[in-house]
Amino acid sequence: MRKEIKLAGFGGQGIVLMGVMLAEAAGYYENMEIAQTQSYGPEARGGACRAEVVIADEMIDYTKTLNADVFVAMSQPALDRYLPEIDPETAAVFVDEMLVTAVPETVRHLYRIPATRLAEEQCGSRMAANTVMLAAVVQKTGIISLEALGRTIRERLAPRLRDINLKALEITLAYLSGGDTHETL
Amino acid sequence: MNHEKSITEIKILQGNEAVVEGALAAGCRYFAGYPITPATEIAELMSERLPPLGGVFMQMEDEIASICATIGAAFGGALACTASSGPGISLMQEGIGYAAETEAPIVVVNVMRGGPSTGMPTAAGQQDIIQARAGSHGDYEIIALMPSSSQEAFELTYRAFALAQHYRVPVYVLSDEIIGHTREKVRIPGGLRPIERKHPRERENYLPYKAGADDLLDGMPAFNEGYRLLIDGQLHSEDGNRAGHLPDVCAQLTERLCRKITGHREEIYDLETHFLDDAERVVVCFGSPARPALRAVKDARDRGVRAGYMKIRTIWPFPEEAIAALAGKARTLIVPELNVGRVVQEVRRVTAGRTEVVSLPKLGGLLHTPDEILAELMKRRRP
Repeated sequence: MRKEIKLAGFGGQGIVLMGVMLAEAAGYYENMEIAQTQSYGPEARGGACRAEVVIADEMIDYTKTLNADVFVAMSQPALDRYLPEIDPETAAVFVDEMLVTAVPETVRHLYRIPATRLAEEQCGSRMAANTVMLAAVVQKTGIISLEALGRTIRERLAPRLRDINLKALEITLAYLSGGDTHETL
Repeated sequence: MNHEKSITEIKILQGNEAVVEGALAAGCRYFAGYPITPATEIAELMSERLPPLGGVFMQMEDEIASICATIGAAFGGALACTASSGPGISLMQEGIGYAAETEAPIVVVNVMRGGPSTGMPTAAGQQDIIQARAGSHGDYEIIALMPSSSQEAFELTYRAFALAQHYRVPVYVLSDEIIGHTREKVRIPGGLRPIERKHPRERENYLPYKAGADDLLDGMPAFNEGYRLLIDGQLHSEDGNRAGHLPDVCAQLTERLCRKITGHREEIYDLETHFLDDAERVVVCFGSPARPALRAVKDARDRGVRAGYMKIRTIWPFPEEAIAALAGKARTLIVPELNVGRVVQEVRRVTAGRTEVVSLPKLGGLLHTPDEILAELMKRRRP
């Protein structure tokens, strides 16, 4: 089994941290082999940023994604830049509803998640948008368990980040259980 | 007896973090450095980890000072280390020559980024492999290890300290931006002991540069331990005094500095091979391209190609005998590297036209994809 996740956005959105949380959840709490890589520009904020996670039940030879099962775009430029590397027929594509408006119709499995809006309105900070998105990915794809994600937030994140991220997880699950208007199939 | 349990601790670490854990496990208690992308995490983590262990972290004013402080710490009695990347490593070259000449056991971590010059700070390269062997002036030899995973970053850094002490030589860990910033599981063996420095047996009439028949010095003394030490960058006699007026002494020292590494190369080599028994086309790889290479070799075998894999963990001294032996068996050797094709020249030299050698260079900060290496494996031999 080999699952590949590609995450993209701009610097400052916590793209790499999403990758790290996913990798740690799978590696520490689900006993999987993991490889988490990233590419980033020289700028601290605002530049293009990408993280990749490979999760497998055996030693991982190639550490980057070959054919991503899940693609997350947290900005329009990120979607435009990386979509050509994605198979629109098979990949589950998650976009931030507010920051990504134009998605080609070729994408078969599209999830529009109001991550930034929910983070701002219900957690009081856009900083939590990455965790909202990650919670949505986990809930929709089952790529890791929600329990493993919860444990990662509680046990791995710096204490000052714990509460807001637990809140983000909670509000995302509440939002997703409210209906499937967010899902465009 | 103190029975230590061999419990394996599993940590998810970036290559840069694994370097720090490997160094600390080896007993490194001194780090002097200056931050630079993509090596900064090493200094950052050393600054957190060393003080509680009774070690010293020094942020220096630049890389020249960093390498000099590291050499000083080695003669002060510490297992010492520095880390940098491209431009910083270039600044360190004079000091590395000084360390080679004074036989200072230090570890230099180069998290390679794209070059030349300031190059590509946030992207990977393997363009400093030749520099590692010969970046400073004069004739000397060093040891250089190349990890291709977080696990190897840990293991090879640990070994770098052991090699530095044993051979009294600067040892490079040549990592790169991809290895440095990839997080993977690292299995840390229980009961890993720090490297113990061997002290010279003779104290009263100690000659700091008197080598044994094996060309190696007898252990490593430190200042204030009762040994008379005279450390000088000029070529010297066995007592450490300058010997520029003695051509034979200078020639012998220079030859010994080289021979003490090349003459022991078979003890130093560390290779990982797969599928070589029936291999006709072998990928010879090192560092981060070893990962797509392994995938490509497996994919090629699935398609009926007799593909083989040789990963070199010890790039210097170059494993001449092992590569030459491949030339007698395989038809084609493929060398993927993140530069214009440097190590491939060494492969060509040691195979001396006895087999086809294909260079697979990759520039621009990107890693080869498995398909790029697979395509080369699938090609028929040129007529």
